[in-house]
Amino acid sequence: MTIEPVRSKRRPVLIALAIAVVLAVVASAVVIALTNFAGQQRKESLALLKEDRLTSLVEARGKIQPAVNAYLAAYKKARNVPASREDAEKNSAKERDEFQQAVDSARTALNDVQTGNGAGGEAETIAVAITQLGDSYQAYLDSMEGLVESYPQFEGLFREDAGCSGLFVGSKAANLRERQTLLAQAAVPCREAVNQLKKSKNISYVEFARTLDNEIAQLESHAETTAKSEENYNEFVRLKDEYVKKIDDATARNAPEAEYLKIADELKALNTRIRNNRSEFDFAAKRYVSGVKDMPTLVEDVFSKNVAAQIKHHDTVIPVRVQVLKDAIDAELAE
Amino acid sequence: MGDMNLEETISEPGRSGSRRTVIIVVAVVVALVAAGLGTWFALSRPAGPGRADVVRLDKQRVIVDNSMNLYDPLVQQFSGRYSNAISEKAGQAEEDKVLSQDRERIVRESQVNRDRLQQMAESPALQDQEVAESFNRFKDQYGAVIAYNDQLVVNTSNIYRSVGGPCAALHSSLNVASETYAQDYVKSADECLAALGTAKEGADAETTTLLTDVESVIRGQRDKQQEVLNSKDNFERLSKSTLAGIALLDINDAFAKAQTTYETATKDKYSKIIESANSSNSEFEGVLKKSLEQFDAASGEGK
Repeated sequence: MTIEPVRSKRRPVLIALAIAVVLAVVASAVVIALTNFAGQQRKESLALLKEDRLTSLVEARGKIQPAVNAYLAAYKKARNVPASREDAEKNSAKERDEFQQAVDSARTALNDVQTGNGAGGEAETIAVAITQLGDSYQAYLDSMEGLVESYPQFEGLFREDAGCSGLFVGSKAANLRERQTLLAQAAVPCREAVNQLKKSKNISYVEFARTLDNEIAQLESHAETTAKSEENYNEFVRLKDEYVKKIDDATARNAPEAEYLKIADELKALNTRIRNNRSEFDFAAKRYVSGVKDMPTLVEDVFSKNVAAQIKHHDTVIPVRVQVLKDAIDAELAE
Repeated sequence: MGDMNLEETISEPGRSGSRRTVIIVVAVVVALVAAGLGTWFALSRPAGPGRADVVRLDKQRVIVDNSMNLYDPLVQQFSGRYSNAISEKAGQAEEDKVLSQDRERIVRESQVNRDRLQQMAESPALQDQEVAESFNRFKDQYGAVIAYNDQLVVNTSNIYRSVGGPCAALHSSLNVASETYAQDYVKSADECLAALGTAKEGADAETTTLLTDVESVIRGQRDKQQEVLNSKDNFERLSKSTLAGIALLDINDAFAKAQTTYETATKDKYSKIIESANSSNSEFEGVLKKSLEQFDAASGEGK
């Protein structure tokens, strides 16, 4: 092919323009295809999150409660054989491992939900829903872990481990001072164990330990008041005998009336002291008795009320969080 | 670009006919492809409100409505923990921890809910006037539920900090028969009154009424015990302390009355808020459903 020199100058320009146009078109097609592909990818990953990962998360949580119950029952049974805390821990190791596995799988499932979502910045609602679900789920796992971890501690409080049962002095004491001393002795190791329990990851144990600690302090203070009152009483008996002697003496001497009046005033003051002593004693004794009587209820309430309420809390919150995340994904996938 | 090509080609005289045809064909094809892509792009991103916007808005509505169910358990958890920390005197550090964890959780929850409402406010589906009006009512009512719960957290903290704190000791741990009762009472009552005073900061009308009622009951008792202390002789002291003792008998009634008034007022207030929120929600749901049906009907005709 021969081309005239004048026209041949135009040809490369034409070709270049044509190529440029084609390139531009191809480029935009590629961009559109990629955007679409990425969109498709995102949709798939969101669908995966909603269908698979969230389902696994819910299923993993479903396995926690039975595992907790199995462990608590196994430990209690082992301990009641009877066995020491160490032996009971050994004999319930299988259930403890199974619980730990259930928690680990739940944490993995949570991690998959948190990291598996390839959503970009626009899916703010999804990111927020995941964070909220993560917090609630994490709090649940932590509290259940704490419930299991600190159970031997809690369970051993009123056994020989911590010796809090020593707080129930009962008829072991011959008098109130002795009662106070025995109580104070039992309170030392018991308090130590209670303070350990305050560090638990489970708030129900912590709150119980706080209340028990205060209860012990109350018992100690009431025991001191009653012991002191008893001692005062003995002193009053001695004083009374003294006054009887004084009056007999005055009568024998045929003492002046002023002396009788003085003795009468002193007796009146003594009477007031006796009355006050009596009221302090009654106040403290009543509270001491009811404190001791209420202690078993305090212990029972930990599981029957507080832990139950805690579990109910999580059972209310987590399903709502899951549902909100599902709805957030649906909103994102809407077309 | 294609046009420029074409023009240049045409302006060239003597150019081979077949090449020009090829270039024209290429240019036309390019133009067609470009137009096609453009249309596809335009169609995949509609400018006006589409069905998807309505579906999305409806989902967001469900999320906000569902999220309101979380306030109850969260507030309960907070008040349980806070009251334990205060009544068991767990210490300032522990109180602060409960405030920063459990109270802040509710504060964050409310912020997220407000953000959700704000995001809904930006929906293209609100270009429809009926949808927009219905949404505004929904936003107002749910905003009121959120604000109520925020205030509830403040009230709860204030009540526990005062009534549950220094005031609780007044009628539980003092020995009425004790010699120093009047003195102990006046001292504890002053602490309680001081706490009640600060508790009113930031409290709403109902809570302020409750705190004021409790305050006047305790002030009355305190003044009677103070009279016992001021008595000049034993006889006067005895008669004053008897009067103060009799007045104590009424205190439970007075507290019960203050509590009932408070509970009735807050319950009424909350049920009204919840009722309005629920009705705005069903109305909004209905409007969105109607809008969806319109879209479906339109696309049905098109087919």
